[in-house]
Amino acid sequence: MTDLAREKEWASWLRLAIAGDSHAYHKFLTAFTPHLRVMARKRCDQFGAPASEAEDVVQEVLLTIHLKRGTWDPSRPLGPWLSAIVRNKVVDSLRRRGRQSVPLEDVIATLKTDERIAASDRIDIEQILGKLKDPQRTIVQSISIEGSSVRETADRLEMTEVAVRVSLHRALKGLAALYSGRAT
Amino acid sequence: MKTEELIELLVQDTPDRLNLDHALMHAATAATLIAAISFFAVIGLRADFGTAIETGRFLFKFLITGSLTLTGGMVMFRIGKPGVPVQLTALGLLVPALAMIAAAILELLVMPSETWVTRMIGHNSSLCLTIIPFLSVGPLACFLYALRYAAPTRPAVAGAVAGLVAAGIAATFYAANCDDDSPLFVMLWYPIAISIVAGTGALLGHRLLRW
Repeated sequence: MTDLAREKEWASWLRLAIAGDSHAYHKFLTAFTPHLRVMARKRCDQFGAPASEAEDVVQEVLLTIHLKRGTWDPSRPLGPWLSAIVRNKVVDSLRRRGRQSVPLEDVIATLKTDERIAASDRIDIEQILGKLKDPQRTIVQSISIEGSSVRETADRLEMTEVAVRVSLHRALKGLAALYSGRAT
Repeated sequence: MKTEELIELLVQDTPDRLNLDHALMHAATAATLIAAISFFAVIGLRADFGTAIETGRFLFKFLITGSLTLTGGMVMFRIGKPGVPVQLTALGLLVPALAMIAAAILELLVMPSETWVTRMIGHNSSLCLTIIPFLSVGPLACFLYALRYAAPTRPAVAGAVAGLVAAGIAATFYAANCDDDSPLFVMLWYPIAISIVAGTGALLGHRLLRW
């Protein structure tokens, strides 16, 4: 599949997703993530960050795309929008983790020193999840890790579906805020 | 959390009903209403509005403030959208600037030189410098609020643009009250007032519009 054809397919899925089709949204996110991962790994190399940080960056970018999807004009091509968000957020994310862009020659040297501090610097997703308050944390765990639907979660926690959705939305916004507030 | 799990969360999240364009349009409506209510409640039209509206100089002020609002608005609608080029649209901001300069030159050509300084300094400068920022507060707040849905590459610039549009709205109302109609007055004092608002917008944008 050519780049352009793939971009158009993603755009059609995202268009449906914005109209409320969660199945199409799932297809888009799942198709896009591997490409995002490759870009994140490249940038991690450039910035002298260990490859293990790439997945954190991937998640942060996905969260941003999700929260800012209202900024895509569906009548415009998807490519430039996606590239701009990824480009800005990946660099932003790595900078906030204390990574500076290093010239290629220094990458090996930097990698060696950075490995030592990498473990403590690394943003621990589990720790961040731990910062969410209940019921948000329970809802997030229920839907993401246990794979329950909103309806099942609502039944189990004896909340209305609407309340669960509102809580989930707030949790995602909180997650994004925690990511960005973390490394200062 | 594994990425597949995050994707599950994202998919289950409520779809965004509002997109950036709608948010900005609501903000523009609210901004105009707030400015209008503040203006008519606190300041009001100039007493001789009926006769002033027949003079070219008076009407020209609205051409300048109106075009600032419109061209600034065009940039504002684009600046929050990643991947959308904004430079060409930003050139539109030259329109109010050039119009103002052209009118000033015309004034200098037409009016005797003894009158230039008095016309330029006017007697409403302190009103101009306070009323325009005052009327801009509500509109700027509306636009910044809407731009929180946006993803601007340079948050401070986006804030400054919001300031320009807010100031354009405020200046349009102010011009209906001010009786210093000379383009020389407009050229000296309005940009100062507008810069105060744009600068405030930039500072607030830098803080509030990060993503």
